[in-house]
Amino acid sequence: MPVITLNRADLSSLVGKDLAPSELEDLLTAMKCELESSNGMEIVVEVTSDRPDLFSAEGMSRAIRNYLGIGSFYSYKEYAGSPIELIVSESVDAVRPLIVAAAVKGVSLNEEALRQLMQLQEKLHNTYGSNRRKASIGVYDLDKISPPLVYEARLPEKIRFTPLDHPSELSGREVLELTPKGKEYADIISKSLLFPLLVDSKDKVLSMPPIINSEETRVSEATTNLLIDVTGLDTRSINICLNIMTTSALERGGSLQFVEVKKKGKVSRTPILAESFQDLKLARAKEISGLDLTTSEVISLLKRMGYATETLPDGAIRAKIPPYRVDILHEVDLIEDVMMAYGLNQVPPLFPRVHTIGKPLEGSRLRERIRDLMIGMGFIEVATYVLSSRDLIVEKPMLHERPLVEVAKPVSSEYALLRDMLLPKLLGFMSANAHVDYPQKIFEYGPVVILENGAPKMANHLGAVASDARVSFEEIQAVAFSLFKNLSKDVELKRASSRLFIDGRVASINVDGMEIGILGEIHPQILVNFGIFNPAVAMEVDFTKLVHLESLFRG
Amino acid sequence: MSCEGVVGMSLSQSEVEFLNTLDLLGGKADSSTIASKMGIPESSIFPISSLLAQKGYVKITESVKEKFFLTDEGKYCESQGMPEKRLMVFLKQKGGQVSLKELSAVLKQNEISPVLGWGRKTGAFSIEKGPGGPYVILKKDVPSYYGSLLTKIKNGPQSFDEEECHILRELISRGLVVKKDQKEIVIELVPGAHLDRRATVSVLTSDDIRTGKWREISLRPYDVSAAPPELKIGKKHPYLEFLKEVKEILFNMGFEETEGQFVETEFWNFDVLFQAQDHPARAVHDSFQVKNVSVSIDAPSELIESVRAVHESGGHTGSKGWGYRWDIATAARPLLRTQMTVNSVRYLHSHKDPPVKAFSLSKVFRPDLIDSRHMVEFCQLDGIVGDRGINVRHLLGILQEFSRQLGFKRIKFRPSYYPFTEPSIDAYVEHPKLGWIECLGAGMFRPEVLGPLGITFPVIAWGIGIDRLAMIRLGINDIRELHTNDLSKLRSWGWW
Repeated sequence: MPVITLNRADLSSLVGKDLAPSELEDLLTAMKCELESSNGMEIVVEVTSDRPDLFSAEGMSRAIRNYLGIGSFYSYKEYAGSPIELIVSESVDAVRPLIVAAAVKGVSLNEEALRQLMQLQEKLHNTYGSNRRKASIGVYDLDKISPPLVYEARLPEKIRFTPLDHPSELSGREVLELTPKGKEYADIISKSLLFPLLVDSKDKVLSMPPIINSEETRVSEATTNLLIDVTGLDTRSINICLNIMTTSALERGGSLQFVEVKKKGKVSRTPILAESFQDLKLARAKEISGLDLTTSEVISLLKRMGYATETLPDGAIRAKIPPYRVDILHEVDLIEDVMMAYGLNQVPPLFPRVHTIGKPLEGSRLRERIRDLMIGMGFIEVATYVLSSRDLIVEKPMLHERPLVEVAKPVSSEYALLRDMLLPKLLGFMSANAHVDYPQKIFEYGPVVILENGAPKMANHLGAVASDARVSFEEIQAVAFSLFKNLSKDVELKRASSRLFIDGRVASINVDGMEIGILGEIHPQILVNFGIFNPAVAMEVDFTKLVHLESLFRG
Repeated sequence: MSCEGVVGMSLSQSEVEFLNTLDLLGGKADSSTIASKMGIPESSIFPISSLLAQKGYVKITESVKEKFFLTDEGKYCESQGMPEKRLMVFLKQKGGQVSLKELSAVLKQNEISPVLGWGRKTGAFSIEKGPGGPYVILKKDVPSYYGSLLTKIKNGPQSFDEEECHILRELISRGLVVKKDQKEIVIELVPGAHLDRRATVSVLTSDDIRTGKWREISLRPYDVSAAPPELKIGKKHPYLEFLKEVKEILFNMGFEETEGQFVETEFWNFDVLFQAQDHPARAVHDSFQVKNVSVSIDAPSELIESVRAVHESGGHTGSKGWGYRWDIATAARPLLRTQMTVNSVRYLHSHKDPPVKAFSLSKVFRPDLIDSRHMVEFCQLDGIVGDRGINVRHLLGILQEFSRQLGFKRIKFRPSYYPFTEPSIDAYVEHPKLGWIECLGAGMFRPEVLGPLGITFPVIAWGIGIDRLAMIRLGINDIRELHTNDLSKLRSWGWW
């Protein structure tokens, strides 16, 4: 979830009311925000990704105004003059086909307003823009630009401009190689023959989307007329970004000037701030909220969330969805807003009289029996991670030829594979405790994932290791026999072989004619690999097939 | 075994002998007397008697006394006679006068000049010049009390009368006697002290019991307050026990436990939960893709088609949908499950008749920067309650009751966002020391989730980052310690 920084004075001035810190905190909480920190004027909050309109102070203040009942339904001033023309060349189709744009005339910016605008742009890039790939936003000083605008794709070497914060002109390719933003986002366009470019009628470069703007069109506190463009790959995303940018900028004053985007003879007017509606039935609102609401109450609660409403002939409430609300898909979304306005802490909790029978997972009782028996035999329970390193479960135990579920992009090589057995994990545990008092007797009962013909299957294993200056095969044999004896099962040991164990000192564990595990004395090479310098005996058992043992009255 | 530090009335063999000796000496004696009687060095008396005093058997009186000892020179004179005495006897043999040169016959070299000085001072001897050099003449007899006093000191008695004290001072100044401070202890049996003189032993043997020897021995009491060695006991893991406690609360609240698979498809993990394939909400759960795995979507084709419809246009749920082209190949990708809600929707799909109450509590996996608060593998609890007439008040009721069962008295709520629930709610519980802790996320499943699953009744879903609570419960500050690799820590880890 995005984390944004707000300035209390700026927010108060946008709201039109001085907001005390505690009052502001309550209001932010009511807007689904979580306060991260508050330091004098600066407030850091986590906002939710469904509400891009709250990614900056402008939208936040609008929501707060409505919530406090001092706002008005959404409207904007339209610029009286004619729209700006933007001609789109078909050359962009292969690299970055879509563009929408808008202009805000007569806006008043200050240092904080600029900071908010940049923050909003960045947060939109990270979320709805999929890190600029799907949508990227450019903001320019319109007074430094001579419309009509042209969006086209050019050979990188035919591109020359001074990128933002760079001392000199660069070619398209140099922008990718020499500027920080170029390096960060290069892979979005670098494989393309042509790079996208936004220029004005005098061929002045506005930006090379989605990488960087030109220094020449930079926005400053003195800027009063803004041009905003969004280029990208996905219509819905670019329109959301443009709407949020435009409606937010308009909160700082000014009027909206439309842009006519012309491509292949087709003309579209952006931003698309078309009205949309969502109907809400009172009965549904009552059913979901559990509150005994009336139509007029719902209407006034909706108003506090910024919705104008009308009542339909069938009694349903029709809410007008402001253009910045991109999260309203269903009437349940309106019901949430109704409850936000009502205040969740005003809703009386009610424990549901739903009568059901509590029941543990199959295998839980067996698991508890086994844990009890193992601690009775003096083993201490450990809990290791399911995610493992290759070193621990493949290299050190020298078990190379087996398929394992592997994480495609692990965060760390320590957590790169799903374990399919417990013994390497337990030996790893022991190796971390080589200096701790012996004897050491440890066990774990937990899930492993075994890959069979590409299909991952979860199983519950018991692993146990005992180590001391002297240990004997008999010691682990006795543990296995005691364990199964106390589960009312006979166990048969058969000669087996495994790289983990010493030849001739390893046996398979057989119960009810099924081979379910292995035990033996760990091979000294394996001990050395793990850095364990005391002999150890161990066993591992798959209990998945014995889950039926736990039924209370089995035949 | 810890048996050091004897206290109380128990006695060792040598202590028993000591007491018996003291009895024979009339119940009171000084240390040297006891030592000679027992035939042990006097230096051994002090430790034994002080232990016995601690146990209340004897009383010790200590005093520091002046004691006089003969020096080596003194001892010589005591046995050979005082030098003036030897000189007098010699002079008498030689007729009253001898040449100085002859004196070495009875006097040591170092004695000659002191004794002539003494003789001149007391008038016993005089030196005259003669033709063959100087010679000594006996004038009067020398006294014999010096030698007697030396003998008296040698033999021990240390009481001196006034005259003797005067002579003693002379002997000291002549370097024949030294004065030393000596500690003297007098030990006395405490009257009335219970005198159990049986020797004690520390270990009761099987043989003692069998033969009846136990009746004759006294078992030495131990220092019961001394720390014993640490036992290496078998015990259950505290974190897993906490998870079990949580499960027991849920069983008592009527929840059935369910579990799924670590390796899921995106279909069940995201698509069924109405997380658009291209929506930032899907980035909320950055996930671990996996290799070496071939899975297909384990769902009937009607479900797959309903999910497609609901994503693209809302299907029959009254939703607008996300308005994009849903891709089955994306949905079929395997991944490590990122939340436990996936188990809840799977459960719903196979339990279409209300009421339902189920939970799952197990591992989920999410890429994250690993630090004290974030781990890529952690436990999550997800619960659902579904029935006709279920609403948000019930959701709050469930959260309130569950947190009460965990021991939190107060709970508060705030609106939140989860892609698969609407309304969505986060809850905070009040910890007596830490204040408000955000730990519960909840909501009513969206129609876009329930519709394709064929669920016709409302369903509450709620989840909890149980590891956070486990950390608080177990008093640890690093989430990785829940899976600690430290055996000493596990051995010493105490509950509560």
